[in-house]
Amino acid sequence: MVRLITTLVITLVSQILFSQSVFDKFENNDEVTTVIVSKKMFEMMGKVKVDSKDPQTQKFLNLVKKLENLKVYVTSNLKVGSELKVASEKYLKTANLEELMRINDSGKNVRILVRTGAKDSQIRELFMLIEGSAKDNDTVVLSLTGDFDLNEISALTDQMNLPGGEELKKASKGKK
Amino acid sequence: MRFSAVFYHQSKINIMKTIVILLSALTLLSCTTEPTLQKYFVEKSESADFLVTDIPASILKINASELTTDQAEALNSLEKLNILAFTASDEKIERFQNEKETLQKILKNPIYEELMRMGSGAGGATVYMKGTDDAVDEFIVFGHQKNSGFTVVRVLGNNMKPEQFGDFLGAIKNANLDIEGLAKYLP
Repeated sequence: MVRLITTLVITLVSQILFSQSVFDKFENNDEVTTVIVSKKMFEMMGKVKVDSKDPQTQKFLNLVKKLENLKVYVTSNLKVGSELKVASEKYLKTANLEELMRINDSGKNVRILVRTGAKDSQIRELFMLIEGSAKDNDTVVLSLTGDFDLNEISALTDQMNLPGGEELKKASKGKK
Repeated sequence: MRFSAVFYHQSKINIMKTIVILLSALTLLSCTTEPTLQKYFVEKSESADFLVTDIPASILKINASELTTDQAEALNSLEKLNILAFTASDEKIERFQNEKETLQKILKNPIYEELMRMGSGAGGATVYMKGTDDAVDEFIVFGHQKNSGFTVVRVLGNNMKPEQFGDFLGAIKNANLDIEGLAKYLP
């Protein structure tokens, strides 16, 4: 009995500790714009009845049902941007992600990483880091979790105005 | 030997009993002391610093005969908007912080499920819902702006269904907002 209670307490406490992600501290930063969409939201969006015959919308709704969490952090401040980069590297060390592609486009450094499931094209997490440079580029960190196919991502970038959408499109094409 | 087994069994039951009693006491306690958004609204409606108002769904003048059955049903599930606003002036900055934190604490209650959040430390908005997936009782939008104020909008209804959202938009697309009627609800 005692053991059961101890286990319960330990799991509860550790859950509270681990759910604190390295990025949480950026949420209250004046320089960082955050967008967070929860699983509940995706579930509800997936339920919306659309009688549209538009295949793009259909694809999008199909994908939405498989998503869990979207977190986006954007900053134009270079100092905060480098803090975001440090936090990302710390996260990447522990999160077991594989690099999918790295683009260096006129001083803009883009890294896209994924955590795959059983199959290679099955994605559990998609992580993107765009490093801002002195020229007006924003630093962007994007993390999308769920259980989806890499090829479906284009449906998302088409429908949602995500930062780095172009890069993501390239990534999903590259894998095909 | 046998006696000790019985005794062991007994003590196990006792421990279980104590735990159950403790747990139920805890739940009861949390039920009675937990502040809800409703309580907060009622409390603040008496304060001159807050603007609290109810706007009934009837403010949307919609010709019912032009609606499809689905649209009418979707529209009927919406009851009213309940709005609370607080404007922070320089001398009220501390109060603003306190009230904002109180609200954020209330919204941490797991009965309010967070749907999405956007913004920065300088200001932003969070959307919550209360109810189940198929029957939402309440959507809550909490918006705040650093040093200037916050607003809470509660969209109250009866079994609002996410799949009817499209119908709902269709229904209010042709709505005429009753501006004169609206003025009644604002100071």
